[in-house]
Amino acid sequence: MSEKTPDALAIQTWCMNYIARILHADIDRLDPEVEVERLGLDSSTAVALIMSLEDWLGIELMPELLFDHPTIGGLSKHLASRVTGAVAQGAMA
Amino acid sequence: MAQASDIRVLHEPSQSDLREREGRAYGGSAEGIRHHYDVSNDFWPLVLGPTMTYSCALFESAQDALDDAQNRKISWHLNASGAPAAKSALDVGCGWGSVLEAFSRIPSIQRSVGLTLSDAQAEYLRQRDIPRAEVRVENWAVHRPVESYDSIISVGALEHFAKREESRDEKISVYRDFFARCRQWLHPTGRMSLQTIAFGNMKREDASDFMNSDIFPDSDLPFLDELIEAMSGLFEVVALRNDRLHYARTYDRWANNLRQNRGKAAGIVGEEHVERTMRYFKLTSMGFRMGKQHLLRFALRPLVRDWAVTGADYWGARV
Repeated sequence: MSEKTPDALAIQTWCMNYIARILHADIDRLDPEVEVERLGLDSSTAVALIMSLEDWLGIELMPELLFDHPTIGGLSKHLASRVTGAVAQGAMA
Repeated sequence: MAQASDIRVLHEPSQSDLREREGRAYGGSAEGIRHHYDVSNDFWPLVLGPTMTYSCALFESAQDALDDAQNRKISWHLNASGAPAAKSALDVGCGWGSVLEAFSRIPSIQRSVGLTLSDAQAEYLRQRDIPRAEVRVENWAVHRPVESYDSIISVGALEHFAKREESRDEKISVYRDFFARCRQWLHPTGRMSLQTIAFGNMKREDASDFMNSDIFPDSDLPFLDELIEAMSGLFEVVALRNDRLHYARTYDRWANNLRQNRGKAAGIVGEEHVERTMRYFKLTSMGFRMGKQHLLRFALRPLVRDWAVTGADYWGARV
């Protein structure tokens, strides 16, 4: 990634925009602290989210992530710590 | 006690259980199978790793190496099908031969047969030249064994037996035909193990078109109750496990391998195929985690008339 590493809030905003777009939903009505299943994601939209996040963040993500971190808020915090770790590792190499 | 030569004859389930082979695609469409597996023999090792096992592994922990979990799965099937004491063994849908290889390491097994519909797999196996193994490019519906088997294993083949357009009754009659034939080919003291994906908490009509047409054309999954109905009167269930989370993990490991070998894989099959396979792996993993699909493993014992056989606790060939 050429831009600065996204933090948890940036990742959360990105995810909420993505979900609002694919579900044709009003972003203000999506709560990041509610389980993604209750936001209306099904298996194929959840996989689409994961694969788009992979492309954006440049790290590998497995579907089990959404079971370990079932809310966008929790997921974003987790991903922020992973991208920071990936950047630190890259800097050391 | 009967002589070995007496009890090795094949015996007949009722004719109504068996069906004549109907059309080229009955019991598994060769075109459908080649579409998925005959990509290139150089592609699958990048995904599956050295065991070349394209089915759900058996994990003891999340940290298990994929190869160890695949070998544990094969051991489960060997034990469930009485292979350690068998003289002859059959693998229906032998893939790239990991089970045939395991048969060849069992001293009592004098002869093993592997059936596949994939030319690429058969070619790969001819080069491997597994001791005492015969590989046949042949549909189970036309297989005519020369003598009975003590051990039958079928892993990841039954998913290809039925077609999407078939009714529930038609599906059951294909599965029943399969079980009836296995029952007929099996020595009365023999055992069978079966592994298949099944529909879980999803309706058949909700299966995605992407999976059904792009990934596995000409294939459909069973429901557990269809299999139970299909084997009723032919086999008793000794053990049944649903290891769907093991399959989610297996697919995650394959996705991981593919990502790590992405450049090489794209060089062989093209970037678009890699992308499609990646999406298929992630979708399938998600489906297993959500319980849309189950992964069933059965240990089966043939039902026989002779109560002296039914009540005996030996496994495998009676010598």
